[in-house]
Amino acid sequence: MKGEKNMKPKFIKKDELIVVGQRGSSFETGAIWQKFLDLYDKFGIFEQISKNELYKVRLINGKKFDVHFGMLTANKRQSPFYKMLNIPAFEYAVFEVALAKGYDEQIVEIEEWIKNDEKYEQGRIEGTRFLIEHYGVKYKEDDFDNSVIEIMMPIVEKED
Amino acid sequence: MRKLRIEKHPILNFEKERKKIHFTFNGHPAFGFEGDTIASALHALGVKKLSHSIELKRPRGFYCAIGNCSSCQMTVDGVPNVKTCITELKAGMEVKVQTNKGELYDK
Repeated sequence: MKGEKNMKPKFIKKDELIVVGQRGSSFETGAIWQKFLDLYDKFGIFEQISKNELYKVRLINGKKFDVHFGMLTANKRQSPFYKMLNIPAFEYAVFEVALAKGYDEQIVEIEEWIKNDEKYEQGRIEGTRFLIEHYGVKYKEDDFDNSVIEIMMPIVEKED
Repeated sequence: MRKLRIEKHPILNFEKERKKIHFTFNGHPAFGFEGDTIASALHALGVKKLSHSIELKRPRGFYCAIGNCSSCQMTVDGVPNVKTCITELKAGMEVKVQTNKGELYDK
C-alpha cells in the first residue's frame, strides 16, 4: 500500500511545547520566516530552549495549511509581537527526512502512512490537524545535500 | 562538506562581507547573500534540481545562467516560470521547484 514503504518511525513522548514565532498562510512561508527572524534579532526569546533549533508547525485545514515558524521556550510571556503556539503533551511518530531525497515527497508519504495506519490517527490541537518539522542538529543550513529534518507526526490511538 | 560558494578569487574581490538574506525553498529555511540571484544562492546550498521538463518530467538544473534556456524556471512568491538565474534574491522570498507548466495558485 502506498505510504507504507520504508516507514519506520521512532516513537517518542513530548511534554507541552511552547513555540514562540510567527504564523501565516503556507503561501507566504518566506515572508513569515523573515518576519520571525527580524523579531528574533530585535527581541530575542525569553527563557529559550535549545538555541539554533527551529520548529515549523503545519496547521492543516483541508487541503490548505498555515505554518507557524518558531523556537521553543519555557515561558509563555514573550514580546507581544510574537505569536504563540502551545502544543499539549503528545506522543509522536518521528521520521528522519533527508532533504537530498526530496522533502515534499517524503512528507506526502508520511501523511499517507498516518492515513493508512490501523492503530493511530493524526493528533489535533483544538480540532486542527498538525505536523511538526524539527530543524535540529542534523539540519545544516549551508549544506542541503547532507541535511536531515525530523518530521514529528502527533499520534493518538484510534477509538473503536 | 563541499563548498560551492567561491570565497577567494585571484582577480575578483569577495572579501567584503555581504548581508545574509533569508528565504524559503520548498517551504524550509534557506539563505543567500545580498547580490545573489535565486539560482546562485540555491547552487551554493547544493540544490541541483530547480525544475522538471514539461513533457517527460525529467529534472532540470542550473544550465545557461544568463536567462536563455528556461532550465531554472521556478515558482517565486506564487508566480510561476520565474527565471531564477537572472532574478535577484530578496529577503522573505518563497521559492518552489516547479513540476508543471506553472499554475497561479489561489491564496
